[in-house]
Amino acid sequence: MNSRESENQEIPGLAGVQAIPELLAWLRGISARQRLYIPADKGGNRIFEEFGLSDGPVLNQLQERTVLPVKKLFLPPSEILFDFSHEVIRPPAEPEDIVVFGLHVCELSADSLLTANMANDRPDFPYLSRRDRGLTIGVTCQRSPGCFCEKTGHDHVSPGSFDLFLDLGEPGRPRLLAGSDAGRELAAAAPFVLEEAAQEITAPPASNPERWPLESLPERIHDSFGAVMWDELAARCLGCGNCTIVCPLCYCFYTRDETELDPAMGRRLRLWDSCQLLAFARVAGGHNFREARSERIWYRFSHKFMRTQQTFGAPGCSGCGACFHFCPVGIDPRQVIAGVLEVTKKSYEE
Amino acid sequence: MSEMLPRDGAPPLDEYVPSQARVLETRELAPGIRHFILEFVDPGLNKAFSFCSGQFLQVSLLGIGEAPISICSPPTKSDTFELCVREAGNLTRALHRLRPGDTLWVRGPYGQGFPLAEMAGRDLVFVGGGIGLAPLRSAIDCAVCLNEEFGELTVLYGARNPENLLFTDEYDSWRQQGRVEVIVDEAPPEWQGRTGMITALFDVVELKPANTSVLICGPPVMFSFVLGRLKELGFEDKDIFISLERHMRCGVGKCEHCVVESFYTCRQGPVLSIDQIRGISSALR
Ligand SMILES: Cc1cc2nc3c(=O)[nH]c(=O)nc-3n(C[C@H](O)[C@H](O)[C@H](O)COP(=O)(O)OP(=O)(O)OC[C@H]3O[C@@H](n4cnc5c(N)ncnc54)[C@H](O)[C@@H]3O)c2cc1C
Ligand code: SF4
Ligand code: SF4
Ligand code: FES
Repeated sequence: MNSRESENQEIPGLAGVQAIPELLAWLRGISARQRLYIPADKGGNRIFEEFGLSDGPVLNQLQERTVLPVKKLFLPPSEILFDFSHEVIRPPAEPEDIVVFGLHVCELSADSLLTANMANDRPDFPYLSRRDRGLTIGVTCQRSPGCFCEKTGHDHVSPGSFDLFLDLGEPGRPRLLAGSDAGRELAAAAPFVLEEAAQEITAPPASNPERWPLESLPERIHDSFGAVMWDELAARCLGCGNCTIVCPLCYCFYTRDETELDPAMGRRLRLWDSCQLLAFARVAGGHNFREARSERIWYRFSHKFMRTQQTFGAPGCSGCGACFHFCPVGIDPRQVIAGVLEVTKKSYEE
Repeated sequence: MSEMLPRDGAPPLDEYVPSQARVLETRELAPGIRHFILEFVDPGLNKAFSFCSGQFLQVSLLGIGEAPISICSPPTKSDTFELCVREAGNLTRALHRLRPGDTLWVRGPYGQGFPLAEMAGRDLVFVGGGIGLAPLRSAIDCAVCLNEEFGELTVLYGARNPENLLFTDEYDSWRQQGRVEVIVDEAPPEWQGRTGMITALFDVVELKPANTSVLICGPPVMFSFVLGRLKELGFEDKDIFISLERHMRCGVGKCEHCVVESFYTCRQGPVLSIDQIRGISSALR
């Protein structure tokens, strides 16, 4: 136990319930049995970290976003696809069972969509086998600064997107909702009464006037290709790739072989990549299919609001605002989409 | 746990783990271009392996890396498969060092090939540039083998210079079923054949656009010229099939490298009809 825990006296929604010690005891119980990840404080930043490893959980600031989303646990920044030794291939060790506590609503939604994408067509085994061994505990969102899920439709929990959900919606009356059998088991020693997740929480909210016109966005993004707005964004963007790294719904990767001193031994790695980097679409001979930064930015948004929207009926942007928050020049999806709506206004609003 | 995943039953096969194949024969086809005849080390895989002309494999050497390479033999040949590799970088350079008995690793086949079954009864025109002849060779050999299924076959092929022409020893056997016309950009004085742009070959053959399907593979610079000529001749977009090159990593629509607007070139391509990619400004660059 460390000093931080005693500071964690208040969680909005839990206030007055005096539930913090019990909550911590429950989490500690879980962590004694399997790896538990929870938002922790690291030099002033929030990160998902193993319970008990660092300064301690930051339960009183659950609303603040972590630097990297949960994708880092299921699609690690670097992972071994297989090891090899003298022409023999060995699969990596089986992934571990893990529990993640403290996912925001938009994060649960993004996690489901990322999983759907990985399961689509030809399943991505490394991701799915890891995800399949993960349990998620969501928590009512208190909204991070600069987030906008009401615009993207990722603003509600859907059935099947969590194992447990700590609903802090009604102040002083926390509820723990079950979303799966595994979640029900996990709740055994929880300090809250367990309820079944009912329609009222998983039903999509009535249509929100703030919501972007998602249905028409694929076509509008398509039509905006080549518009001056992308050049203007390109003039500001540094092409650093931060926005894709912190995004819960960016998953581009590349592969690389790494060898020992004996080159017959080593491993094939897969590592996060970013479509914002210059070499992303370069092929042998030096030809680059996306040489211009403006095109690369357009591609990032076309992935989210065109391809993902077309394939899964939801945009590949949860509205978490992390890209904006961590972008060194403050490029904000809200302004980008506003720009797209503006340049395509004529053809859609006549 | 995610409801999207199967709870019971066998885990999905790991897509990214390749299978080992052995080099049976290899020879230099042209400077920097090598041809390989291969078989799987696991005899069961040799039987199970099937593909379509125009599909590709992710080929790798452990410790060096992986790259997409088209299968250049016809699906009608069942015991072995063939690749044709241009030395372009690290992996391809290392592949060039392989000799009979050595092994490499492959996964796939991936992508959509040329829809030959739908072309039954039609004339076929193959338009190849440089190493683009490799995937076309698979389709040509397949059409030659199933010659009763198709009308007339025409191969139009262009390369930088005569020594870069691929599979020259096979043109005679193709000619037994159709025409082969060749052109090079530049040639030494002793060259007896044609020099110039590949589009010049459309002047020496007579084509019947209404009943002809066109299969194209070559460098991107070739596309606009060839497509322009085909349009003049009256070909319809739906009858023209093109194999697009893109940077590829996963081959299965997951890594996002190969995307052209709404298409995953690795999964929905590399072969796409002009009809499918009309309106995509970045497709043919
Ligand atoms: C569908 C398809 C079919 C192909 N068929 C053939 C074929 O039959 N024969 C043949 O010789 N070549 C073929 N190629 C091209 C071949 O994939 C590249 O020449 C090869 O990737 C170069 O790999 P390398 O490791 O030797 O080069 P590297 O040293 O990795 O890199 C050289 C250059 O290639 C780029 N590159 C790296 N990885 C890839 C990749 N996975 N895909 C594309 N470019 C990449 C790099 O950005 C760099 O500019 C095909 C490409 C595609 C997309
Ligand atoms: S984080 Fe900002 S500057 Fe960096 S690539 Fe993304 S948009 Fe450009
Ligand atoms: S694009 Fe930005 S706001 Fe949208 S999900 Fe990714 S990081 Fe969050
Ligand atoms: S090669 Fe990875 S998505 Fe196509």
